[in-house]
Amino acid sequence: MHSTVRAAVPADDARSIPEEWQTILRLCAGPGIAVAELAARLEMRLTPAAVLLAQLLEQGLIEHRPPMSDPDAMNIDFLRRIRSGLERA
Amino acid sequence: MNEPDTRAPDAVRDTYLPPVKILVAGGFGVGKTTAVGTVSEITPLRTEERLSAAGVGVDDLSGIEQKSATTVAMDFGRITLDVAVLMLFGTPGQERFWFMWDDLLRGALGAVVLVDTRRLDRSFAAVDFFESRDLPFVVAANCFHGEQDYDPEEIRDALTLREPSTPIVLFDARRRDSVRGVLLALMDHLIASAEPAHAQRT
Ligand SMILES: Nc1nc2c(ncn2[C@@H]2O[C@H](COP(=O)(O)OP(=O)(O)OP(=O)(O)O)[C@@H](O)[C@H]2O)c(=O)[nH]1
Ligand SMILES: [Mg+2]
Repeated sequence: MHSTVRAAVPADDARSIPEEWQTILRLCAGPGIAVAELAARLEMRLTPAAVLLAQLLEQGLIEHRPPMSDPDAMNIDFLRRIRSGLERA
Repeated sequence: MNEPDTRAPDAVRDTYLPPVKILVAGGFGVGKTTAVGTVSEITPLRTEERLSAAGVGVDDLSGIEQKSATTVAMDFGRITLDVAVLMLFGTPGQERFWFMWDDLLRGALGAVVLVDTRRLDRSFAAVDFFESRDLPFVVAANCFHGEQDYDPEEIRDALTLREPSTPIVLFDARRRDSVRGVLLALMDHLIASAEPAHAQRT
């Protein structure tokens, strides 16, 4: 739910795939969209949406990225940059 | 598909920003949905999940015929920064769904635990929950009256917070600056904990 996904191919290049999949590719053609957000936009519950996304992942149509949460793996500079970004947001 | 490298549209070429997950938790009706909505750059969304009866107390299902599953909703909002995308997850407030918080905790960088100063006694459970987990959090006291009857230290005492370094912020869930201030306090807390000086003896 908290991973983000992103289109690995442009929706226009994948005309032969089901329409529902094309919709997903369009929704995730940005800097990444959370699975929770995608599910809400598709008006699906989380689990069925995740199952659907797994199929696209398997086909290499999307890529996914888990959230950054391990403080040890995160340097303090990154935390500071989030903070200053937030201050300007 | 002759030149796949040069044909990628802007959207696909864009950097894939690292996602960062922040929980907005707290008891029933403390302002979680309001807070997520106020600070989010998108209209806040509700993500639903179906839970099997196994996770829900039997009492909750008594009297519901044929119902072996229930739907629980989380709030979702986001803030896109230049270095990351903050994903805000508002937890369900009803206590019977709290078992789900452990799932929600996974992958989170930190949490904001909202409390309502009019009903501090009803905030113990939420604060307790986070004190017994590893996740760094700040306590944000929602000013329902527009002014606070308490100051942070009184709230700290009333909540019997164990960890003296846990920040307590007063805020108004309806004001964007105010909610952002809470997130900044969380970042400060995370930064302070990550700073080498944190390990110093006093
Ligand atoms: N006066 C005032 N009212 C608030 C504030 N924050 C929330 N409210 C109101 O309090 C009520 C509950 O707020 P919600 O944001 O729905 O609370 P919640 O924590 O999401 O509630 P549950 O999801 O049901 O647990 C709503 O009617 C809000 O408009 C605040 O800072 N001041
Ligand atoms: Mg709510």
